[in-house]
Amino acid sequence: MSNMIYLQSSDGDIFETDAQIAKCSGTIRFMLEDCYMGEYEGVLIPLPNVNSAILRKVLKWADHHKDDPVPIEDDGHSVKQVSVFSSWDAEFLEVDQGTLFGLVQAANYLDIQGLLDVTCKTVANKISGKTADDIRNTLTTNQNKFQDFI
Amino acid sequence: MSDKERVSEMESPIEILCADMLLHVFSYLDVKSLKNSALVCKHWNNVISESKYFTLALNNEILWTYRFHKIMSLTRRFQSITLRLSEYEPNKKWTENVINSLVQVAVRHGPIRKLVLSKAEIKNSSDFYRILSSMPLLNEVVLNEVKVDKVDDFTGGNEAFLSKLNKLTISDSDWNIFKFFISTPIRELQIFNDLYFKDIPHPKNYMRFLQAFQQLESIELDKTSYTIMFRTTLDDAICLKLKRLKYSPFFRSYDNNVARNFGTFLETQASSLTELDLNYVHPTIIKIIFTKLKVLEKLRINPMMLPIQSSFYASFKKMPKLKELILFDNIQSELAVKQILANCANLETFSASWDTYGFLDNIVNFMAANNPAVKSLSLVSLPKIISPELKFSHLKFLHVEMCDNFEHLLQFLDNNPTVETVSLNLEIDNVILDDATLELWLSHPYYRNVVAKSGIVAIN
Repeated sequence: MSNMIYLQSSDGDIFETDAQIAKCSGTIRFMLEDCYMGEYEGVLIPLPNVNSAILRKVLKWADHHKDDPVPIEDDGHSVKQVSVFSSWDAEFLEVDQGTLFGLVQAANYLDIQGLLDVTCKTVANKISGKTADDIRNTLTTNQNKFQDFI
Repeated sequence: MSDKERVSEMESPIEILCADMLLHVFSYLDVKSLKNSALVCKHWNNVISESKYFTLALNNEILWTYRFHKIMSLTRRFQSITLRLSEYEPNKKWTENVINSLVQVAVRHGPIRKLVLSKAEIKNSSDFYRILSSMPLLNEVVLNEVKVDKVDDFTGGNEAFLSKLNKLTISDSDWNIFKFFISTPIRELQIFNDLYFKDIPHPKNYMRFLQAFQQLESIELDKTSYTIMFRTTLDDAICLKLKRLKYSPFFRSYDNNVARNFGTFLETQASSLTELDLNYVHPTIIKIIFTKLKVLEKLRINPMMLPIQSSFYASFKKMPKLKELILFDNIQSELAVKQILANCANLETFSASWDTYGFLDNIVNFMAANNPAVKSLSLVSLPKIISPELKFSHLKFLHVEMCDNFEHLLQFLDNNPTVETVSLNLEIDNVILDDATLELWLSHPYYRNVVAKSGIVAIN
């Protein structure tokens, strides 16, 4: 069964995608299943705070991970479950910082846990083991940004 | 800092990450990196230091090396004792000595009102009982990573045991510890066990534990406790009558079973619940709040989760008791917030701190027409057009987080002469506040009191 739906980015571009792929997003899944009661063939979902460049990346990620097992609810037994970081993900996340932070934001807004985990882990890796000065230098090319430090 | 620098500051990409997302990033760091991150800038420092989860982690690490005279701090003024034991101490004898000294101090200095115990492994339940008994007037107990063995043999204290205890905070400790407090009149309970959860009780036992505290009025839960507690259907009659409930994790959760069971629980609390603080919750819960919780007075909720179909709100009831509504994330739908406001005719306090999509203007105008009792408004920004209809006849307090147009503010105050206090954040980008503007602004007749966050202006 193939159910195509349309996603509209903040800059107005429309992306056609398989509903099954889009449903890796909790936000979209909720809209499709609860708002359209499962009858969503051809619907258009506006995503007012994801731009085209980011949405294209998100869909690429979702397409690659469409056959991943659905994550089960965290039962509290384990200390934070670290998502498996495949070489594909690593390559996928070799992007400039603006794109990376955009992806974190989009993953949070769209409620895509897997993408949120790998993007946040990537940001954390940039911070990990560095001094405060190094962190400032790494995360911005502009020294003024963190002038407010204590 | 010049204006030019301020502008470039805004363009830095990491700025787009809000506190929730930063916390998610920080959760992958070790303690050392976390400490360094706290030194990067004020914003990060605030994000880290305001998170219970991380401050606990930091305290523990820092304090591992302290000796007795350093690990125990006695604050006589606040009548509180803070004691941090360490699992890395060489022998049991040392721990015993510490406990003996603690009891001596408590007896000599009493009355102790607050006890904070961290990283303590207490072999004998009688030792723990001895510590608690030496401080009979305790109001508050905080236990962080405390383990007590063999509590099953503990038969409980008499009725007078800790008869003043109001508040208990348990983090990363054994569940056994609950048993010590079951006969005490605790009203407030906080549970943070995300980090190292040991001895998780069966979901049904969890609820029974809570119900054993007969005076319990307020619960604050972490994600783990929430998920465990509501994983299975509640089959017992719930005897809890909570007034306050807080569950604000910074991750979304869409487990339908947990949401359904939590909804059922909320319904059992409908006759007592006056304060509710929820972050990422399922829309079913939102429906229950506005159809069942009739005595609710204060609600803090994430508007990102409000469904956007008006039909969803058709069954909502009037909420005459609801006085305070706090929306603490982006407003994603104007219609959803209006649907809710329409049911809150007696609302006195409204707060909205994010409005990326610009829905707030219409919402504020809607409130002026539909919520006449509003006394306190806290807005991220004022509406772009101040019409004469934008008038709240009882408004006393106004906070504007980003006020870049003082003309607007003055127009708004002209409309609303009842306002007594205006609060502004003057530490924002693109506001130039020179002396002349400030003087003009302060001399305005409707102006009575400005409280400024930055400390630039604080004049009565």
